[in-house]
Amino acid sequence: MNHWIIAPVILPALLAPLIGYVMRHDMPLSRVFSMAGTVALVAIALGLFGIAADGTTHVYRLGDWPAPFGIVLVLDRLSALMVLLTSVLALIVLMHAIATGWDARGRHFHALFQFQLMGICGAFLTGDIFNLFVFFEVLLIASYGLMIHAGGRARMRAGLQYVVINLAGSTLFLFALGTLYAGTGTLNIADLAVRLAEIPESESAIVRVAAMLLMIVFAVKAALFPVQFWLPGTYANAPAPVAALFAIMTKVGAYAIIRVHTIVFGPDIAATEGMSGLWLFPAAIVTIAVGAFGVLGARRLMPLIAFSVLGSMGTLMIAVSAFTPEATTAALYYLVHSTFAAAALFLMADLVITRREDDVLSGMPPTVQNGLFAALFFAAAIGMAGMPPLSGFLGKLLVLDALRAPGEIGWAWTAVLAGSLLTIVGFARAGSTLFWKSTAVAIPEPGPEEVPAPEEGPHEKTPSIAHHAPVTAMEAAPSMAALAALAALAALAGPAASYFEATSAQLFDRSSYVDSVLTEDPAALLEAVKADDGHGSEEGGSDGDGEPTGDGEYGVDDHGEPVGDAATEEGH
Amino acid sequence: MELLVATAIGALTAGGVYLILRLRAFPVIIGLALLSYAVNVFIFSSGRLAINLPPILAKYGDASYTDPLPQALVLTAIVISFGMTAVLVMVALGSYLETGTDEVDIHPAGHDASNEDAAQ
Amino acid sequence: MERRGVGAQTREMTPLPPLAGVAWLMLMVATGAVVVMHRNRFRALVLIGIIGLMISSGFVYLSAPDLALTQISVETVTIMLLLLALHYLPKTTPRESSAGLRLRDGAIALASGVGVAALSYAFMLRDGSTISDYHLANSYKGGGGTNVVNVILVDFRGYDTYGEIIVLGIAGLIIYALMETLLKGPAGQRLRNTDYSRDRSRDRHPLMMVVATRVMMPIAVMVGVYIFLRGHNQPGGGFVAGLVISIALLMQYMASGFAWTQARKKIEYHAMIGWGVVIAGLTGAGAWLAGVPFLTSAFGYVHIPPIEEFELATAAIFDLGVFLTVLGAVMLMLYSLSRIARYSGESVNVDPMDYDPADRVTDTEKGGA
Repeated sequence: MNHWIIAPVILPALLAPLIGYVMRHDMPLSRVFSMAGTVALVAIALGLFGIAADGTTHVYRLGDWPAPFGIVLVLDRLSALMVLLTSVLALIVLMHAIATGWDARGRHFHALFQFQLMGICGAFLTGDIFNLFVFFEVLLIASYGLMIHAGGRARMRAGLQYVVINLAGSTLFLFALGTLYAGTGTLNIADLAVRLAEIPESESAIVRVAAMLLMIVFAVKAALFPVQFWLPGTYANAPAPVAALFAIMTKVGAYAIIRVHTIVFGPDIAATEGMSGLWLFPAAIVTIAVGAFGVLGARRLMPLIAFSVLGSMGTLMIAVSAFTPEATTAALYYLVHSTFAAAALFLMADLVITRREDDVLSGMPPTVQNGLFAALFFAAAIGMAGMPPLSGFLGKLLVLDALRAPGEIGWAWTAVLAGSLLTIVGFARAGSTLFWKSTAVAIPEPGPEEVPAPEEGPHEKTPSIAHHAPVTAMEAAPSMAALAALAALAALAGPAASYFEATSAQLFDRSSYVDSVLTEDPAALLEAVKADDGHGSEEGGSDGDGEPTGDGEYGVDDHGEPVGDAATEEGH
Repeated sequence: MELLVATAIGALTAGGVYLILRLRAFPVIIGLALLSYAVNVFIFSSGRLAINLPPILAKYGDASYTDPLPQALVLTAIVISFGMTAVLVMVALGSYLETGTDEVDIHPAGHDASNEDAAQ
Repeated sequence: MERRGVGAQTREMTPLPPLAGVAWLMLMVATGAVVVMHRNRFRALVLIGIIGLMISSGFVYLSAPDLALTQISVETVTIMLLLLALHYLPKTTPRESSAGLRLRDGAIALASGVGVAALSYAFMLRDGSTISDYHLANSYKGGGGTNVVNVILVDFRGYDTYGEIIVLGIAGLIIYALMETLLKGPAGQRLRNTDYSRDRSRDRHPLMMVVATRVMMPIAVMVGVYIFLRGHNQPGGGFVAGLVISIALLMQYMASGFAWTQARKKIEYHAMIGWGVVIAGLTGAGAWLAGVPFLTSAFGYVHIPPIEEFELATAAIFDLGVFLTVLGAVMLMLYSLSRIARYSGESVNVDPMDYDPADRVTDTEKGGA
């Protein structure tokens, strides 16, 4: 058993309290440790990526308990990919936060950041559905802290809304888990898959409700229509580096749908057959539309980017909703792409906004390095909107190519293409207002698309001259690194696509997942435990009902489930 | 007994949902508390009901016990929702002190102006 | 979703004693009352307390002593924190939704309530096989404890518990960070300019309460230690113990005042959370030294002659981590709320009692404002 599998969870979990409690008054030291931890996380993730690349599914049994009874971590190509993506994104975001000084604008940034990484990695690695809930909560509560980092009026309001929506979502998650446990009696994902396959269609109502509830829960995280409304407000008001990190948070929802609704409620399971895609597909189409019109209507830069993220989630989920290996390959490619594209946009926007009064899209005196910012902005926008030569184009092409089923081709193609067009228009208009109009007018004049600036934007007004200084190499490097990731994804499209193909092939090979996790038959394990009563010293005695038994101490009734007996005994 | 538990869960859920829809910080906090009671009993009931069979192993012999796993899950859920409630209370308090209103606005950015007056 | 059916009913209803009916009635009435009277926020909190109490007694009756213990102690701490926070929030909710909106929300609420009730009723009357037979069978042999729920928490599913205390630790951190940010910003000014003095009692720290809480302190601590130690075999454990001790400390803060108690506190709460999380993590990681996976527990039985044979388990150290995190997180929340209080102009008391009979100096000005 490879102990490195749990390292992406334990490393930040041990580092965060150290940073939070020992070094909380020492910013340079926190920065060094946080940075070192994130670099180490990237190295570990690369190592795990290498381990998983050969296609075997590695299982880590926590507490050394056999599979369905204890909690297991599962490392396959998909989880290794997601952990690697998380760690690389985290490194980029952390560099930006340190270089721009965002981390010093409130308390405990680095501790919360590390806890956030722990939660995300834990969610990607776990093979137990209740444990998935626990790590969702870890990553959510850390995100609440990061969301309201540095405070401010608009951010506190948006933060309250974000917390309330996610608490309601968590409650729904628990309802879903209760239903699932009532219907199947297990929590391990592989064991769930086995038991669901055994449920006859005539008795499938309870697990179908569970599948539906879980879908809604994950859809909240992935910001799918009609539960997408939290995303624009949250992303637009979060501190920019945090918004960039949140690019992976929506992907946690997407990952959970891919994982759970492929392996547990897969397309070929009689009890829930075909149900997942049926709901997901129209929701994804509407999400694209909401995102695209949001981009077109946005009057400020941060909401504009937030809506474009929403649109990209729609495109991603359209591909997921097909639940075929080809479409999942495309979805994975687009997932990696859209994570970096969103991060690049948010980080870049942060550089621009701190050099302007606020993020309202209106003409303004040119800032320093206008040309550089314009170039960066358009590069990131091209990536997000899906134009060549960056990876967004290839991503959308793959998605369209995979959706050729008669029922979906018309809707999907129209939505993706029209959505892309609107997004391009929105970005082009915003970019020209921001960078070219600004060079033309010296004083902002009230034009038709001019809107009165809100009294207080989500960003701190930092009128100090220091913020009008040109960007340093350290400040620009993270945004450029995110863009470079997009370029690399495009340049290495061949190898990447074949890796994603292998990943989705492994994902759809459900029986190999189940066999790797459940190495021994659960029923046989249970029998073995009952047969082996190690302590023979205190034999005899009687239980509450006065039945003499000789089965050794602390025995459990061998006949049937304890629960069933409980009920019948009480009935007498 | 089952009917009682089921109706209690239903009533708590309905009350919680209604209060959350009030979209004011305090009713939302109370509503989420009701909902978390409801979901705790709900998960607990997924282990089916049993009377006088606590999952504490008897010293001698065979005995039957109620399902311990949902109880452990509920314990985890209680602790997590306690931490979440504490954070929610503080964020609500912070939002109230910053903005002067305890409304939970579910409309995205841009509607701040309407509540300015209430703030002062 | 009923179109595929749920199969035949396989369980009889469990019998219904009259007392359970009474508790159910109280629960339903209290829930209805909360919804009707939620605008009066103080009253709503009291009613929430009733609901929590009824749920706890339901857990006792339905074979879940651990749940009952936890529910009732969480209840106490949550209500205390809510009461403190309510001091700074508006005391009433304005009536602002139109009748139509309320009707719509009521319909949504009713639909979800009926749905959830039907769902739970459906599965409660049907049997299913669960994986927990293994936990029951293996709890003593493999986990070294007879309280199966606690063994699941610290051993079979210890990883969940690890995540759970991290949630609590993060909650403590966020609340502290939020306080710092708030008090520095415009919210701090608003606090200083708001007059809270009309709500204040003349005798904030009554003599009786100070004396009573001090007498209760060692007893409460002993109960906490007892609950902690028995956790592996009987209802209890680190979480409940942490809450019991934090309630004991909260009582000191309430009775004798923040400053007086704070001055007598030896360990910083930040450090307590940190130690808790690190201890739990290192206990888990210690298993690596033996070449076994994270959180693998070990236990043995020790016999020192005058004492009866007792058990030592690594799970107990893990539970200690849980205990410290819970205690630290609750106290840090209280500390943050008290900082708001002082910021809003609450006076700081030096002496534990407003009228100390031992102090014969007739200093009527004591206590300041």
